[in-house]
Amino acid sequence: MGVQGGSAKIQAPGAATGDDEAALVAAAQRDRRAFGPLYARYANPIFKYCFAQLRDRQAAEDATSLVFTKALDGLSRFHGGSFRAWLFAIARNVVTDQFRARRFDAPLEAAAAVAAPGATLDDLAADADRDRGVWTLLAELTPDQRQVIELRLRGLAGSEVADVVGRSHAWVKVTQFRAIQRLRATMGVTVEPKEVDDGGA
Amino acid sequence: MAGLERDAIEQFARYWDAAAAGASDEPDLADPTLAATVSRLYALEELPDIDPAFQSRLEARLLGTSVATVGLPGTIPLPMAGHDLHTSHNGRTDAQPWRVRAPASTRPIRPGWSLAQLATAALLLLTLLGGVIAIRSATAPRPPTYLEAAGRTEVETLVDATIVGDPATAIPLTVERWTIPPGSATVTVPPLDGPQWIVAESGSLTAAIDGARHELAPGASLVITAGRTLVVGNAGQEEASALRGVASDRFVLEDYDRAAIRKSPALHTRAHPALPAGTSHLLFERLTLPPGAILSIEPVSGRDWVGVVHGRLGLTLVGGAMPTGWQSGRTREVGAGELLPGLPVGTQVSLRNTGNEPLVLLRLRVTPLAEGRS
Repeated sequence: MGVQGGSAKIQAPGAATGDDEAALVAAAQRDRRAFGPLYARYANPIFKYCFAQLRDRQAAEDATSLVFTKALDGLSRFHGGSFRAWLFAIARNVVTDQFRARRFDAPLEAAAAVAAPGATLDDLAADADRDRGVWTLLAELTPDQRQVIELRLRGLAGSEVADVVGRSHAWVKVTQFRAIQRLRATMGVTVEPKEVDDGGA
Repeated sequence: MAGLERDAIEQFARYWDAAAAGASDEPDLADPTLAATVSRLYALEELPDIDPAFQSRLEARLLGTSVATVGLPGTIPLPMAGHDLHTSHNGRTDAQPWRVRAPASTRPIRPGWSLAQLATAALLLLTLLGGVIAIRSATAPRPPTYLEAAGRTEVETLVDATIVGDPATAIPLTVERWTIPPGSATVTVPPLDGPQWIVAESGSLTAAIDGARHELAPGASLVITAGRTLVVGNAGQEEASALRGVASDRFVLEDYDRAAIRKSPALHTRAHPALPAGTSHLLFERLTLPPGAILSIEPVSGRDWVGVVHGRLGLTLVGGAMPTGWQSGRTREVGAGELLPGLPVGTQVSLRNTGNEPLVLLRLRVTPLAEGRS
C-alpha cells in the first residue's frame, strides 16, 4: 500500500475527554443519578472495546452492562486521575473474566479463525468483512501488543493505556512502537515521494 | 536500546498522542510510514455501534430512569421471562446463552463395571484419601503468623515506619502512583496536615524535604511528617515512577502541574478515615505470587488493604462481618485497577494467583499504637 507524501492524518474515535470530566465524576459521586452524562459519553466506546475483544454482540452487551454496574458501585472510591482509564481498566477485567468463562465453551473453529496469521493487505481488500481484517492483523501481534493497540484504537492516550494495563508509560511507548512496526510490515505500507513542482517546465 | 531508536519511539508516542487528541499541529514523523500504518488501522476498523435500545435499557436499569422517557426509535420492551429463556447480565432475556459443547461420545452407553475395575477404583480412592489425610495432618497446626504462602511468594517491605496522624481525629488516607517524565521540572507539595511517604519504583527520583535533597533509587523510601514541604523531581533521562501514600484532609484539593507529574490510583483505601488519631505503625508491602500460589492474611487492625498491581487475584473472605456486597466463603476474581474493600478484623483472607503470570499485589496495614482523643 502506498501513501503519498508525509504523515497521514489519524481519524481517532472519541479522543477528547473534555475539561468537564472531573466535575461530572464529582457530581456522580455525590448523586449516582448524575452519572448519566458519563454513561452517555462512554457507553459506545466501552461497548466497542468489549465487542472488539469478544466478537459477539450479546457478549459485548453483557460485558458493557457489568462494566457500568461495577463502575457505579465503585465510583465513590475513584480518587482522581483519568476516569476513562479507570473505566477501561474495569472493562479489561470484565472481558478477561468473560474469556475465562468461555474458554472451555468456545468452538474450536472460532479459535482457529482468530489465530490465522499471514494476511496481507491484498487479502484484506478481498475480504468483505473489514473488521475481521483488523482482527486478523492484530492476531499477528503479541498479546501485550494487541492489548495496547486495541486500547489506543478506542481513543486512549498512551499514559491512559499504561494505567489500564498496569504498566509504565515507557513500556507502552515501546510496545506500541514495536506493534506498529510489525503491522506496517504485514500491511506492506510504504510512502511514495511527494510530487515536486519544478516551476512548470 | 539505541539512542536513535529511543528518539523514534518518543517521537512516535508524541505524534500518536497529539493526533489522537485531535491536535492540529501534531509533530511530523521522521518515518511517515508509521503514521500511515496507524491511519490505515483506524480506517480499516469498523466496529458496530451500541444498540440504542440496549443503551437506553441499561441506562434505565443503572440510573433508575424510565425507558419510555428516552424515546429512542426502535426501543424494544423487555420480553417477559419464560421457562425456556435465560436472563443475561444486561437484563435482556436470551434464548441462546453461552454455548456448552459436550464432546461427542463414541460410547453412549457405559457398560457395567467389572469386579476388577471396582477393586481398582476402591484402591485408588483409598490412596487418594490417605494422601488428603496426610496433607491435612501436615498443615493442620496453622502457624500464628499472618502470612502463609504456598510457592515462592516474595514479600518486599516498602515502608515499615511509625507515623503520626492528627492528634484528635482520624483522617483519610490514599495511595497513588506518580509518574514523572524526565526534565528539569519539579513538583512542590506544600506542607500538609498529615504524613506522607514515597517509594521509588523506577527511574532516578529526587525528593527534597524542607530543602534537604535525597536521591531515591528504585525500592528506596522516605516518610515525610506533617508540616514539611516536599519537592520531587526526575534527575534521569527515563521516566521515573513512585508510589506515594498520603494521609490528609486536604489531599484531594492538591493542585499540580499535569505536565510535570501524572497521578493514578495505586491502592483503593476507600474514602473513609483510614489513619487513626495519634501514632500508628504503617506497613506497606509488595507481594509477588507465582501462578497458583496461595497466601493467607489475617487482618488484625481493621485497617488492612490489598490492591492488584499486575495479574489476576482470586480473593476469598471468610468471616462474620463481610464488606458490603461480599459473601463469606465466596471467591471473587479481580485484576489491576479493580476495587477491593478494606479487610475487616477477624476475617480469614485467602489470596490466590489465578492467572498464568506472576501476581503482584500492594498491601497496606495501619495499626494504631496510641489512639488520640477521638
